[in-house]
Order: sequence, then C-alpha cells, then structure tokens
Amino acid sequence: MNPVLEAPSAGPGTRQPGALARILEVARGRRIALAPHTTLDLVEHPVAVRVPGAAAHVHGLLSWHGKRIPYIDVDALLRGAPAARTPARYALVVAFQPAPGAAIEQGAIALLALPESIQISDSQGCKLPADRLVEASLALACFDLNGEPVAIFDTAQLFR
Amino acid sequence: MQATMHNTVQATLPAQAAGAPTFAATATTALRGHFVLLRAGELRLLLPQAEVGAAGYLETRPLHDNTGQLRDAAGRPYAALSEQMSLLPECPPNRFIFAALGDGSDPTGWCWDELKVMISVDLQAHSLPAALLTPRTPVGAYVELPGGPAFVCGAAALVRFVRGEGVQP
Repeated sequence: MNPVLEAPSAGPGTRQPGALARILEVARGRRIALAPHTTLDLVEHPVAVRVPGAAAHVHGLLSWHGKRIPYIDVDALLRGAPAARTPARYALVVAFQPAPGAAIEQGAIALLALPESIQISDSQGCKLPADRLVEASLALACFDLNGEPVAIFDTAQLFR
Repeated sequence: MQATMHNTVQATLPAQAAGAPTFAATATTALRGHFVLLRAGELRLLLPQAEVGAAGYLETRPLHDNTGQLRDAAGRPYAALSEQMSLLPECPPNRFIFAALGDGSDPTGWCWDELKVMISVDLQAHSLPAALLTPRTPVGAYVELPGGPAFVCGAAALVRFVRGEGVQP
C-alpha cells in the first residue's frame, strides 16, 4: 500500500467511538469521504486512454499493475457534468465489490491533492445541502468537517 | 441519520462471511480472423475486415460543401473523426488514407491516419468496465496492441454513433 494511505491501526477488537475516514478533494470546493480500507494506491500524474462514447464523467482507462481500470471524475459524476479537461494531480486506486458475493474490482478517482485520514464521530453527523441532490441520492451519510458538509460514499456506488 | 459513523464507514466492507472475496479478472473473449486497425490521432479502432472497404489514398484534401459535408472534387463524400469519435468539420492534414465502412452501400470515405490490415490473428478482447459505458457507447471491449489499446467496434455501431453525435464545433 502507498505510504500516504497507511493509517494507524486501532488493534483487533478495539471499538472506536467513531470511524476513520479517508477525505478526498475531488474538485475545488468538493471533498468526499470513503472507507480507508477501500483505498489501495496513488498514481501521480495519471494518464488515461479515452474511451469513445464513454459516460461523460469518465476520464478513461488507467493502466495500473498490468490492468486497465476505470478512471472517473467524481465531481463531474455528482454534478452531471463532463469530466474535467485539466489533468488531475493524482488518481486514487480503490477497490469495490459491485454486488454481494461478486469479485472485487478496482477503479480510480481523480484527486487534486493527497488524501487525508481523519477520525470522525457521530456528533459530526449532518445533512447535505438541499441543492446537492445527486450527491444526496448516492451518499451513505454526511458529516460536518469544519463547517463543510462531507458526504460518505460506498465506493461501489461511484462505479455503477 | 440512523447509522453511526462507525457503521456507515464499515458498511462498505466487502462481505467476508462466505469466505474471502475474489479479485475480478477482466473478462476476455478470443477474437480470431481478419481485422483492420483504424487510427485517428489517439483513437484506435479494430473492425472486422469484412466491414471495411478497399483502402485508398487521399490525393486532395476533401473540403466541406455548403451543407457541411466533406467532399472531393468529384463529389464523393468523406468523413473524419476526432479522437472522441465525433465528426470533424474539416479533414485534418494527417489523414491520408480512407476506406468505406459497412456493406458497401454507403460511399462515404472515412479518413484515417493509419489503416492496418491484420490477417488471421488471434487476439484477446477485454470487456470494458461497466462503469465506463452508457447505452450509447459504441465499443464494449478492447484489445492490447503495440502502441496501446484498440477498441473493438462494428462498422454499423460506429456509423450509428457518429451520425447521432453530430458535428463537433
């Protein structure tokens, strides 16, 4: 695992009051959260092969460890807009299970900055702003991070 | 919000109960036969040879008529694609070879940077991840070739997609 993605372990059987979340800056002014165990690797200066006629929020296929994996712009997905033309600084490789019992797949998410790991607690729970409809329909929950609502996603939801 | 933050974040764990989840291998299909690799900039397409007409060299650059259709001096229609597989209003200077597509009923000459016939080849087509596709996506698989992946496409799907896409401004 990339050192940036390593997180301190709470030890087996230790129940935390909250949970560790990986905070991702997917666009200026938009951060999202994923479960840390779904994040695998970071690719610097990712270069994707564009796929003709792909969904608008898709950057293309990213080469990773001998595989080609889907590489997406989550901000574009949530806004219903085309993927950003400016190349992202990083691609975060994530693992997800498309359906219960299905084999695990990998995908990649464009990031502006390195991910951060933070501990969040139930007291930070909040609602997403009413104008973020797509985000609200996909998010599992939302928490307040220094006044900014940050949605938590099921990684698999982003690759459906 | 009913779930605790702990439960919410852990909810995305792959199910472990029935044993460790397996890692997906890309679905592959064997492709055997004659194919044609068509390249327009970074766009690389692989079509069955039977769906690509005889190749010809562009002696003069086709120009658009008053309807926007590219034509040569003799009036034959041409089309040139962008790397995103949309119709270009002009034929780029590096397009030097053309071929008709489909069953021969459409005389349009499709212009390419490269056209390579591949006779009796055995290829592995990898399915594209579902996350990339829409109902309109004209390609569903790719093959790894020297120089990068080429998307497997049928002539009819290509033409349908392009005609529906309109002219790129």
